Amino acid sequence: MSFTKKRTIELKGALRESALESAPSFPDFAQVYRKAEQRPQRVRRLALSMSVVAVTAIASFLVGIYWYDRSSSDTALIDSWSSISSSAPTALSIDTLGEQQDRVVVASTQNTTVNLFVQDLWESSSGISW
Amino acid sequence: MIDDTLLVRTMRVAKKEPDSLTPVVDDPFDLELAVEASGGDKGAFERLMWRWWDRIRGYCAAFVAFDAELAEEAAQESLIRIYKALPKWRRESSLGAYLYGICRTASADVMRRAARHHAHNVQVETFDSFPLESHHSTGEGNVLNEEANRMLAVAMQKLDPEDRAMLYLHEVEDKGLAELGEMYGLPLGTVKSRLFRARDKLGTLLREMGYELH
Repeated sequence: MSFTKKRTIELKGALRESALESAPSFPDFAQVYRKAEQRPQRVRRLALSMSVVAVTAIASFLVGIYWYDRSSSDTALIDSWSSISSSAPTALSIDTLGEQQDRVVVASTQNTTVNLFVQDLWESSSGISW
Repeated sequence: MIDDTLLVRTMRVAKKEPDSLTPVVDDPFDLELAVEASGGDKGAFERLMWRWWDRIRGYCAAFVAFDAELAEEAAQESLIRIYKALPKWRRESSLGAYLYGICRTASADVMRRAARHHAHNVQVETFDSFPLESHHSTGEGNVLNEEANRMLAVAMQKLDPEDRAMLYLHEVEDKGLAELGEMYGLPLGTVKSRLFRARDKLGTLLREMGYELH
């Protein structure tokens, strides 16, 4: 016995007793095998989802770069026109329609400034290849 | 004076020193089973684990300060990790050190997870359910024994998990300083001083509760 009437604790016996009383009596091997097999699947699933996220991020980045390059020439035209013109349109957007690179759509709340812009665009782009 | 007391206590902790400095030798049958288990033999794995079960569950229970729920979780987690890790064992350390090392990380992870989820509740429950002073002076031996074990569990909770597990291995499993040093990657002197400090702190805590450590 690890305890006597003198209220002393025999360390070795008391430690062993406490440990074995609180610990499980039998190992559950079925659970061991089941969990050991589940873990690689979980790791694989995690790796797959991380790959999907990475590919999506890279694709978004590349599309973003392409889109930025594609619209930058139009933006440059608007910027250059805006800086030299005294009456810039209040709202303006330019878009190319699909593969028809020679068509430009201009939208504005003021028709007069749109007309001026189109005129300037025509004059300034006469030396630029679209 | 203080130095003399320290020396005497240190010598008491290191009483097994001559044996403890001998190299660690694995049981040949355990080695045989480990080799078979590492090749995927589930029967060999189970036989090996049955031979080690008391040591594994005892160590895990000591690491988690005899919390039954955590001890079960730690022991089960240890088995899973041993099953997966045995094929990777390259005999760089003894089988015992390898298995205890796995139990150690598994128990530490279980404790960390539990602390994250139930830190506050566990602390409150612990101090509510275990009185620090004993109020029973008479009664049956087993009642007193249970109470003494509860006091020991409370005191053990105050120790660092690594220290109480090391103390358990030294006191109960008779692990020598060399083997503990190999398992924990520590020099002998450090192992000795950690054991001494753990035992000393445990003794002080138990004295405050009215018990004498023997």
